[in-house]
This record gives sequence, C-alpha cells and structure tokens, in this order.
Amino acid sequence: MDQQEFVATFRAHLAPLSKYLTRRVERSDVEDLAADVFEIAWRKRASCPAGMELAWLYRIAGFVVANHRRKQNRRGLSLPLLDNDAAAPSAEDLALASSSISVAFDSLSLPDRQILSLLAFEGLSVAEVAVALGVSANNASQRIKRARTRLSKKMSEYLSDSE
Amino acid sequence: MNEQFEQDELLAQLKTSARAIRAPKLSDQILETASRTPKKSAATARLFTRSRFNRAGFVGLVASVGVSAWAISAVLVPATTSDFHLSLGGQAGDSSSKVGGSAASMDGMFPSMYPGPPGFWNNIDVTASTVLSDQPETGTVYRVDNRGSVKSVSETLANFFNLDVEKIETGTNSDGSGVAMPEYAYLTDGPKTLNVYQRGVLNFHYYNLNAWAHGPCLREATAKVPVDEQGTSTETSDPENTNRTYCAVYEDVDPKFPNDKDASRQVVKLAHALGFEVNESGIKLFHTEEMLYALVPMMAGDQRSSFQWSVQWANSGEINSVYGYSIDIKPVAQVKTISPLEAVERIPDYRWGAVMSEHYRVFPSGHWNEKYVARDGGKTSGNGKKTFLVESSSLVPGSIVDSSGQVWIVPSFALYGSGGIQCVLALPDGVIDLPEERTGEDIDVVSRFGVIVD
Repeated sequence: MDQQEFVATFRAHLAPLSKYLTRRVERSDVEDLAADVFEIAWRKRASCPAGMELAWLYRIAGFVVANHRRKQNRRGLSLPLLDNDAAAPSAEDLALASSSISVAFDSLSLPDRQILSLLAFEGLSVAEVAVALGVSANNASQRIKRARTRLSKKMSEYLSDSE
Repeated sequence: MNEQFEQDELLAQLKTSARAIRAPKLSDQILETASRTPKKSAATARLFTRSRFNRAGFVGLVASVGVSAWAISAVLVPATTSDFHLSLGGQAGDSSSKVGGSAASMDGMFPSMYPGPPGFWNNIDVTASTVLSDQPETGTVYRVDNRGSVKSVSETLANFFNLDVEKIETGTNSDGSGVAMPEYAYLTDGPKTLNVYQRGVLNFHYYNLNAWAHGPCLREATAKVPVDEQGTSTETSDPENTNRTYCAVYEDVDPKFPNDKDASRQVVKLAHALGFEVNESGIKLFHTEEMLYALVPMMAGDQRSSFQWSVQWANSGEINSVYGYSIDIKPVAQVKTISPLEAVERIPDYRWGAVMSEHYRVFPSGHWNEKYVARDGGKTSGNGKKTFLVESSSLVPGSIVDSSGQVWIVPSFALYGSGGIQCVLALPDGVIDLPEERTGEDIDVVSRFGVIVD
C-alpha cells in the first residue's frame, strides 16, 4: 500500500476513529492520539487485513489509548504491556443517560466494557470485534455472549435493588 | 421473551443511552503526515501541528518535552551503608538519542514521565494532614538485573510450553524507523504465541488461544470479510475465504480448572524452568466464573515490588496466558529518606514520581483507570482551587529507570489523601537530584511519545 492508497483507504475512517477516541480520552487529546494511531498504522500497513481496516485501526487505537492512560497513571501502577482491554470506556466517558445502564455498565470488568463498547458504540460485527481485540471470531463470540449475560445480570440486580 | 432477545434489547438500550458525542473533525493531513515523513522527523514535525502544542504554545511545548530528560543519568556508588549516592542533573546537554533510548525502555515497563495537562496542578492545593509524620525513615535501594537473555528465556519458555519453533531469532528495531526499540523475540506456533522483550527489564508474555474450550455450535454466521475456518480474519484477499460460515455462538462448557494445589505447582514448575525459586505460599490464586489466575509478586525485601508474574488458566484447564519478568532484585544500599511531610511537597512535580505495586494502591471503586482523583474527587476550596489533603503515608518500594535503561527500586512514599493515592520518591535531595528541565526544539519527541506498539 503506497501513500496515496493509504490516505484513500483510511480517509473514510477519520470520523469513526475520532469518535472512538472521544469516547475514551479527553477531547483535547483526540487529535494527538489519532496521529499516533495513523503513524503506527502506516508502519504496520502490511499487516492490515483486507476489508477490516477500521477494526484493525481500533485495535491499534486500543493500544494507544491504553498507553496514554498508563502514562497518566504513571505513579500508581505497573500495568501489563499493551493491554487492549485497558482502553475500555467508562459510563462517564460514554455519558450514558440511563442511570441503571450507567451503573450496570460501570460495574463490568474492563474486558467486558471494551467488548460491549466495540459492539454497541463502534458498531462492529463479531468478526470485526475479533480483529479489534486480536482474537479469533469464535473467542470473540464467546466473550461477547458472556459480557452480554453479565450486563443483563447487572441490570437485573440494579433494578431489583432499586425496587 | 427469550434470554437472547432480552440481551439484544439491552445492547440496543445501551447504544441509545449514550448521548451524542461531538468528536473533533480530523484533517486528512494526519494521514499524509503519518505516511510521508520518516519516523523520527515525522514526530518532530507533528509537534508543530498537533493540538496540544498549538494550545500550550511553545513554552508549554518546551516544558512538556523537557520531562523526557527525567531519565536519570545515575552515577551509582553501590554501598551497604548510608553513603549511597544517586547523582542526577546536568542532562540538558545530553544527546537526544541517549535520552530517547531510555524513554523507549521506560515505555515498555513504566508509564512515561508525563506531567499531565499543562498547569494541571496549578489549580490544586496539596496539603498535609497534621497527623503526617515529619520524621525521616530508613529504606533499601535495590538494583534490578535481568536474569538471562532474550534468547535464553525464549528457548526456555518455548521448551516449557512446547512451542514447535525451528529457530529462535531475536532482533531490535524491527521496522527500520530509527526509533530505539527493545531487543525482542516473537515466536508463534499455531495458536501459541510467545513474546520476550528487553526494555530495561526482561519480560515475557505467553498466550495460547486454543486453551479455551467450547461446546457445540449454537448459531452460525457468515463473515463478510476473509476469515479462516475458525472465523479468524485473514490477511489474504482470496475470494474463497470470503463469505465463509463460522460459529458465532458456542454452548458453554463446564470449566476444568486445576485445583489450587495443582495450579500452584504449575507456577512453581514454570518458575523453576526459568531458574527462580517460588514459595507456594507466595502465590495468590483468584477464581472467577470463567478463569483461574495466579499472581506472584516479586519482592523487594519483605515488600512487593511493582513487578509481578501472572498466570491464567482457561476453562479447558490449560494455561492460556503468562506474563512475567526474568529479573533479580538485589539490595545495594540502605538510605535515610525524607519525611512523609516533605514528600507531600513533591506531589506536584511529576519528576519525583515512581511506580509502586498495585497492592499499595486501592481505589474505592477498584478500577485502576480512574481519572486523577485530584481532578474529580478533590474538594473545592474558597479560592476556587481543589484541595488534595494527604492524610496518611506508607514507605513502599518504587521503581524508576535511569538513562541507560537500568532499573532501580528505591524507597518511596505512597501518600493517601482525600480520594487519591500518589507515589513519590523518598530519597533526599542529597542522595537523588532531579535533572534540569530541557529546553529547545532539538529534543527527540519520539522518545516522549514514540514507540508504543509493536
């Protein structure tokens, strides 16, 4: 993929990537992190699966966001290297309007939040979620199923508690 | 209404619940810059076009970039007495490549020395409770040395996990970008992957995708993009691989985790393979619905360092993930620290930051990725500033890295305050000095924002 093809291929993904990042980091950091994502994408373009460019970009963006957060939390933790799940947004990041969903979503683990976000907010298919997380589609579908079940359970718990 | 339908409804509800966001419009220039310029200069060029620098202006830029000079140029005099000395400073004239190498090493293990948004602490009053001690304490400095090499650790682990690889090759700087990269080995054998990196410390990560078991297929799906039989996306555009049917939902199976004793034995066996002695009592096991995992902290004396091993078992009972370090932590000196009260004054200066074990860091919600509590949780005082009141402290091992990539574990204070926890170095000024902040546009920005994914 030469420069022209690269620009042409990824131009359509500028807006979705901007939204992805806006859901996860301060708005003022979006442009900088997007530039990081595309620099990496350019270097790694040979490994971009055909037809899955956006999901592949989200995979890179997940690492970039995780790394960005790790830098911001530098004094607190020694985090596992390149943990894509660490890019999961919180309910606050998503500005969820419903308090019940907000509470349920925030009570999920980072991996569950990350996978549900990719599905619900980034609108990825199972196969694309798999690319974004770097796992097989089978593995992704199992994880999605479990995450949905847990979200459902958390919602039920919240609703029964508030009755 | 069946369970599947309820869950789909919930997902739809989740989607519609999110308020519309106003994402910034990204310019095509980002793409062109990323694809046009050689790596090092690309990042430097980007400096002058990207928003954070435009907003902050050049002064902000200089201050921000200057933090990469955090990299300590350590002149260490190993000692077992109080004459230990870690001499810093005078780094402004050092070459950027030297600093860059260190920062890249740091990226692998530690968050970079990032000051946060410009002026972040200007609106926060950091104060100490009257109960905080004004007395110095005594702590130990440890040197962190790698045990083995990338090659030897790769060989050992490949053998341990039965990775069938004909030849183990190691390398550096794989993409030819000129950016300092770690020494690494990347091995794959079907679903098994092993990464061994040396970025200041020698660490490894093993993953086995096939360790997850599943029952019969409940629902099939057709991929719109090229996938293999397992539904994994492929890089080929072979039309035969498109529209392939794969299983989207499997029936769950009962997990077959090893019992605690067997799990601990496996961890001990793995450690032995790498030449480490691990006491079973030092292994902490955690059970969840769908996985079992073990954490093994690496100790600095009788305290937990920021380094730990984690081993995870999938529902088949096989190990599916291991993350750890091949390092030795050796005591080199005893030093007198500053007092907790003095340590509070260091909080606003990011250069005093260290990394401690998560064991000493417990947020109320349990999430590691909370935003800085001082930003969200601090109380607002009369002058419009937020107050960060430090109420207690604990002397803990904090990890830092010097400009050569050498990692040290030094006495640090965990400071617990009004909703937040900070970790700052406890070494006195006479024992550790910070370098002056660098100025000038000659700084290699890649070392600050550079290589994060490989």
